[in-house]
Amino acid sequence: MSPKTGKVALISAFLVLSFLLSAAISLSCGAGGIDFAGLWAAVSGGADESARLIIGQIRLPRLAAGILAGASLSLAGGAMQSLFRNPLADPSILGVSSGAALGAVAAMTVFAGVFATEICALAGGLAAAFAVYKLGAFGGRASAFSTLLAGIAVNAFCGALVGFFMYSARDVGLRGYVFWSLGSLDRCGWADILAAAAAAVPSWIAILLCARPLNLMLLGRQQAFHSGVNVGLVWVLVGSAAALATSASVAICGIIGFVGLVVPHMVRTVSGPDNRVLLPLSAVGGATILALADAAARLWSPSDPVPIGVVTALLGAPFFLALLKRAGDSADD
Amino acid sequence: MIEARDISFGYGRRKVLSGVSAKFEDGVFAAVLGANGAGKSTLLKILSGWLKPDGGEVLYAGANAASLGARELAKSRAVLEQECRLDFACPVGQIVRMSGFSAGALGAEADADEAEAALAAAGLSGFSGRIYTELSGGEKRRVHLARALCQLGKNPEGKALLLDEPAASLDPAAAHAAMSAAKSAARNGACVVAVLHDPNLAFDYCDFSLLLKGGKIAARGNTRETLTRENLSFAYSHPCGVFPSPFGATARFPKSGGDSNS
Repeated sequence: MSPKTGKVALISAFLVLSFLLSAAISLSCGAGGIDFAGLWAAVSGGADESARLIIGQIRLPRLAAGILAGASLSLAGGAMQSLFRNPLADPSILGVSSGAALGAVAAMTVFAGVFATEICALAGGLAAAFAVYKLGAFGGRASAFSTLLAGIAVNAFCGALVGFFMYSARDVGLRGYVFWSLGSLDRCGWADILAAAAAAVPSWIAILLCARPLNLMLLGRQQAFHSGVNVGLVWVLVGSAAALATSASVAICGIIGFVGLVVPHMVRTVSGPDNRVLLPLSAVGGATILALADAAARLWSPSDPVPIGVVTALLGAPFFLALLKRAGDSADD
Repeated sequence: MIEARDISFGYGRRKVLSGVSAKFEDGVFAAVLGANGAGKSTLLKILSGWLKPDGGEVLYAGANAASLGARELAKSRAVLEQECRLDFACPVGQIVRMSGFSAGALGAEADADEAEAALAAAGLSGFSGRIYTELSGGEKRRVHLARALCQLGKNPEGKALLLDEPAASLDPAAAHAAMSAAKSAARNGACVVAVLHDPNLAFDYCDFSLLLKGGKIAARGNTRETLTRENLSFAYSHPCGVFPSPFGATARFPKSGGDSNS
């Protein structure tokens, strides 16, 4: 008992420290370099006006957007992996990300000026989640497997529609297409972030409160029901919370791939599958990874950062493969 | 006590159960037997409240199961499912402790001591630190039995224990341990219903037996009077002999043709 809680405390401390360090790195790098001393001066109020402005109006919103998106995607991914009992489930495979992107793109092209982009992204993500839920229940009861298949189909369909709208918009569209399909923290201002947080933070809380029911869902829906879980309620609640958090992230940062899939996996290898530990640590881990990935993107090309989704996939994919190989090695012996 | 009243059920247009009525009393260990596809597991899923019957009703101490929520049901019965797949590397003790879920609004955990006692009753003393995915098939099965026993709690009086093939894929010693654990739950006042494949386990442990054939009740009552040569032959559509032995009654299903190797 105690060695395990000790281990969890150690992992948590490590993750929180790496998060703080990543945040500091992210705040201090980029055009108009501010070193750690300058950062400290700005935080403690001793820096000059321009440094404070750069940090408060440019760097801090980027960091906040990264935290919001990283925590949302990782929490949604971890929750969906437990809900579907499938380690491959994540918000983009289930069609929510591309649904949200479609909503946002539609807001800019078809309904230009009628609805806010964020509202349309949220509506798109939820609509995609609902469609997947309904399509997955074709044969009567929804099964995790048919829901995943429906998700793949909806994901491809919405992705294609995003491509079509963007293609129709030509030059402007191409730039937008890159944003919506590869993600970026470039466009975030405080107003967008607050709007997204209003949707994301309640979803985080709902997901975290469902940690115990999600643990039982790992055994299967029938088993969870027999243990006293209101399976239908958890299914809908966690599903919509994950969809909402993901859509909020997509609304401000576009689709950032791989985070929702990889981060819960990374955390699970050290924390174990208990959602009470896995979910909060995944949130911190996701925020850390996005802060670091954004810093890397800006160091790489300071004037015009590469899309953050490129960085997460470039770094995430080999890391993920290494993890899988290690897991495979230990399972085979 | 669980009472099934005139249950009928079908998957789509295929009828699985029709007109099944039975009373399962507290303190009694009841067996449900029948050929593959006779509707045994479906009946158990209806008794547990997971499946809603197309017709008829299930009563828990007089209350309609359809009107009870998952949490209320979990407090009055525990279930060992026929299959349980878990692909994540959970420690065994944690899995068993999850059976205490219904005690808290957002979920709760059973006591570590209670989980340990349930594991011991299932023949898995000292397994609580083991990782589930590294266990053998029979051991995994017993983890879920322990989970059900733990959910039933220290005082099972008036609660129900529903077991779908508790002895399946277990070695003889483990099978007897599982059946003994179920028997002692019944002795402590629980209503125990087990779907069984082997009539001999019913002879050894069960006070009451119910034979299903084609979704209807073929026979029911006191085990020795119900599992007769005629009833078993009819229910399994295969010749059957019931013999006295030093260990009590024994059923044998001879191979077709009737001649023997020995």
